[in-house]
Amino acid sequence: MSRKSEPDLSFTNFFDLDGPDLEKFSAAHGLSFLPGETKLVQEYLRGQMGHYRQAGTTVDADLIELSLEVNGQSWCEHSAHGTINGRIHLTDYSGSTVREHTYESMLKDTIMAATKKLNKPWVVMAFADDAGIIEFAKHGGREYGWSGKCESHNYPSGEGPFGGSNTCTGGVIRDPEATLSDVRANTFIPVLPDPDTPAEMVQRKPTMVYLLEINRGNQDYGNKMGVPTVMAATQYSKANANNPLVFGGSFGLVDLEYYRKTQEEGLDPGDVFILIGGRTGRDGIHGATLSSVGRKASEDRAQAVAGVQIGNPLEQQSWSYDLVERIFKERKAKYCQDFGGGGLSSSAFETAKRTGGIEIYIDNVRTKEGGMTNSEKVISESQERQAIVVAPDDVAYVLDVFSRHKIEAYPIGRMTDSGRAVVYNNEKDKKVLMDMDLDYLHGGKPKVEREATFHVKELPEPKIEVADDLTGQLTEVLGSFNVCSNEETQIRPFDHQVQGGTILPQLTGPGYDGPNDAVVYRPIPGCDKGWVISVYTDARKTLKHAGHGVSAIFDTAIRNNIVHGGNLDRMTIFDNWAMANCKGDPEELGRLAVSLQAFTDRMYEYDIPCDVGKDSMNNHWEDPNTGELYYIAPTLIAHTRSVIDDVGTCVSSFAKRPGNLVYAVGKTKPEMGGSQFYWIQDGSGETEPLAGWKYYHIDGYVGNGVPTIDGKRAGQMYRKLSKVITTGRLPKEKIVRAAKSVNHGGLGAAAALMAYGGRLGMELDISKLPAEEGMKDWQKMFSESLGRALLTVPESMSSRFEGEMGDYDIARIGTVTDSPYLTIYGNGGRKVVNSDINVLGEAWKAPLRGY
Amino acid sequence: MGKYRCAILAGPGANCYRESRHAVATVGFDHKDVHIYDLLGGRDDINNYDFLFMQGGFGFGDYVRAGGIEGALIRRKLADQFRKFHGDGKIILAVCNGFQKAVQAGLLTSDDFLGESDITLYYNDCGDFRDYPVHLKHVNNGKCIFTRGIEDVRTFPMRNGQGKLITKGYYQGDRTIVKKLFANDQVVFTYTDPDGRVLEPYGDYRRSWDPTGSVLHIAGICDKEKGTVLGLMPHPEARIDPLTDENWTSERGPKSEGDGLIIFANAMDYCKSEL
Repeated sequence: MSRKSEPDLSFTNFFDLDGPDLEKFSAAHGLSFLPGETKLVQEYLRGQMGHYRQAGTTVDADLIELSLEVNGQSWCEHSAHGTINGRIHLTDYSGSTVREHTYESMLKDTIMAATKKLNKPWVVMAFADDAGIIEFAKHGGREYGWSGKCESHNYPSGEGPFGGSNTCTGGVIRDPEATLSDVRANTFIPVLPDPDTPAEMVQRKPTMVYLLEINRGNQDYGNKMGVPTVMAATQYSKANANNPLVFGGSFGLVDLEYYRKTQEEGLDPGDVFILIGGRTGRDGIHGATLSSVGRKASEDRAQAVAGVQIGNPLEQQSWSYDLVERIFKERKAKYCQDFGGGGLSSSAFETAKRTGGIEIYIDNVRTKEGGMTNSEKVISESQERQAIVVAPDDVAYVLDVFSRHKIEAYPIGRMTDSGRAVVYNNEKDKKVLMDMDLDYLHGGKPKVEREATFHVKELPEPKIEVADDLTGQLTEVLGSFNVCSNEETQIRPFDHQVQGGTILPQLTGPGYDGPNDAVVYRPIPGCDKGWVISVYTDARKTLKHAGHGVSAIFDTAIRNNIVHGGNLDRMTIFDNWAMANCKGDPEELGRLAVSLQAFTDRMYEYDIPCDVGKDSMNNHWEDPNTGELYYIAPTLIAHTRSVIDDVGTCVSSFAKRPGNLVYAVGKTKPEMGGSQFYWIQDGSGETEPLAGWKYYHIDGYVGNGVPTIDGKRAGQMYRKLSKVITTGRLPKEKIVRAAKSVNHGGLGAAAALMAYGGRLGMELDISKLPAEEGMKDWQKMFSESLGRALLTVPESMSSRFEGEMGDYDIARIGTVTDSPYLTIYGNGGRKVVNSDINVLGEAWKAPLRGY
Repeated sequence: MGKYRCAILAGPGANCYRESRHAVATVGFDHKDVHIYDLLGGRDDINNYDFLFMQGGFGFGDYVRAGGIEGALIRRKLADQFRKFHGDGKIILAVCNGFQKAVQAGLLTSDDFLGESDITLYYNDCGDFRDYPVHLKHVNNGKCIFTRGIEDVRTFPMRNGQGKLITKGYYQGDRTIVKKLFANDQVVFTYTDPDGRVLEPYGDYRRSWDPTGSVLHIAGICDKEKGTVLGLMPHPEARIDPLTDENWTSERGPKSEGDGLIIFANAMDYCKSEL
């Protein structure tokens, strides 16, 4: 018997608990119910007692546990996305007047509404199922779609960096695959503590462990799967010292006729739910619910580590091959559903929506170890499992396909139209172990209602004292972690070419090291159409103003895609968010609301839909000694993907030929806020903290002048630029020979990388730059104004180029030279940079070499 | 459909099937993925085909040693099939993980086909998996049927973690095997720089054009008897289309054909004249 002060929190006592004890109960069992929700669950289950009694089922501890676990999985932040779908009242104090707005459902009111309103006929599927799908190509009598999905795996990667990022890659591949896709390409983008993070800030795993293991996780999974990691990037910030973030994207090819047929015909009661692949084990128990709360050091270590899944890429590669090459090609699967967060619970009961019911025979589930309880089987997030639903007549055939290659695939349930999610012991005895209303599971969660506020603070500005010569600063910017080359940490260790579709890899040029901001991929050999994929983030600009920072990421992600041959009229963008304490801090929730609003406004301006996304809330770390919270910067990982009609028309970034003219496109403004140039300034003297960002100043300065953009005008310009860039196929037909988006590090860095990539020099005069009046040379060199690109154009094409782009801010600022020197002249004809490009290139390549 | 049939060896972890299919289809082979479990289960036989393409990947995860498990399966359970196939003059191309399997199976020794293997492929000097374009010089004097007519430097991507070719006893000072490989005209490709110059014996892998650190920079070898089995670490099947070359956007423009195509064209020519 427990004493009065310590309530009995066992499952048998659940119905006797009340008030705060119920919340304690939820926490003690890792259920992550929000305050008040546990009471609702209790009431619901109490109401079910009659139902069970009628069926002759005893309500014992096991039944209560199973019901609660399933309920917890389907209501947690990870699965239900309560915050982003919540009713949020925002009070915005950032403008001259206070603005108030209530979002009935934040995501639906913003991004989803915009995609709906933009109503692009070529978007096949948006915000449904596991991936967004757009039309891609007709080839060989078939119509193909292009599926895509982004994913984050932040909590497990913080706890087990290798396992977490390993299963991020494995998991994100299963997502588009679940839309009957043949997965062809991946991206990988961690946001990591920077290698110089002082030891006293590290309370979790050493910075180097994160850096090495997180990359190794993707290397192991992606390479073994034979899915190329076509693009990889990293952002570094000390704000991520105890909260590394791991994001991945995955893209697949869909047989559209088959996909549409399965959508139209749907599923029938009696169809068989088949589990394919790995066995169910105790790894990944409570992964989804744990990732739905913030991290602190005092929590149960054993529970936290058990929440990290163990990956086995060989398993997934083996069944994926048969699933895609046989079952999908022969159109035997009527539906496919991946086992992600929440395991069988989420997979089966999501599928149940299709017919309005499902029954599961839990004894059929094969386990990695003996003695697993039914709740463990249902919520385990063991990897390498995929479910398909097939017609009863096809079951024997499908099982034979897998068994020939020694892959485990077996039926574990049947679709029904009973309106209920039922778990039986087996199909013969049908002993009821759990029986819940589907409507309740998926619709019973009370809407999250929260207040949000938004302020913009005036941040300290660095005092910039620079000499006439900026070569030193340029070298330092190139070598800063957010600009420097990731060749040795990510590009060479990741197989980015396997299966032969990569047309424009991330690194090209005579030394195979000139960086491109997007990649071009051709999924169907013999078909000229291809994919342009880019992914971009910036963990600095959102610190000053979440909305402006998000706009900057949005614009740059699009521009990166355009300069290599992307097409804004066939482009979608993915929103992948990671925020800190949205549950407990109205200001952080305000940042999320403002971010979503900015993203949505830009969607309308650029006229580009968003077809899939992902959100990860509560990425904060509680200092075990002081109780202080450490936030990450509001983080948006923006994937852009677009269809290029002829992959042979894409353009790489390295300078091609001496004598080519260098054009700057877009206007440069003194917008230094959140720039890399401010990052390299010493900010350690600053003490004024931003709430939650105690150490933000250790990453240099953020400053105030964060760039902004007129998206309408930029969108028009990009549409034009895209046509000019993709004109011609052979070198002599091309107007634009090399193109680089101006992003991290500004114009100086872009010019240096174009020149170095081509092992040629450049002579530039930045006084000719389209720029605001009165700008200083260092501002022109390092400002990160949006909407800008550097292009090289053969002299013979210059009048044609100027004719095409004449309506926009363009200027000829120099030429590509034979001598390998980057020489830049500034105001008054003064030489501001003069350096051997190999010295600059080495500064750019060296910092992460050897990690 | 072509008259000659190519079996692309599939199995757990084999993951280059799309580029492999594209390569053999481009030169006119009728092709089929043949799963190792179907061979072991007696549902198929490599002798139903003329050309066996042992593709890349991570066979059985490479958890024991690269190519170890499948090599042992071939040696112990499929030796008769392979011996007949080779005896009939049919051809095998083993790339990357396929090369590792072929070596482990003893298909490429300085002596008998399916004999005791006297070379191995070990962890690269660069210490890690590396996806990097490498340049190959053709040094074969005519034995290998796949590489006839190659005169210039060919650039293929290496995509492996264990591509360092070592001959038995080499690091104990015994050069017998490597000498035999050259004497038998079994060495087909060596790593070189983009201009075809001989590389220094050892170097910093980041600046070396041979990140594997193979013995005498050997990248690919053929069998002793017939020259009908070619094994190499870099991927010729990944360079069929000129647009897959890293630098097709450079000033010289795309090449007229991919660097790897000739190897498959030679395979087809051989089938036409000999089978």
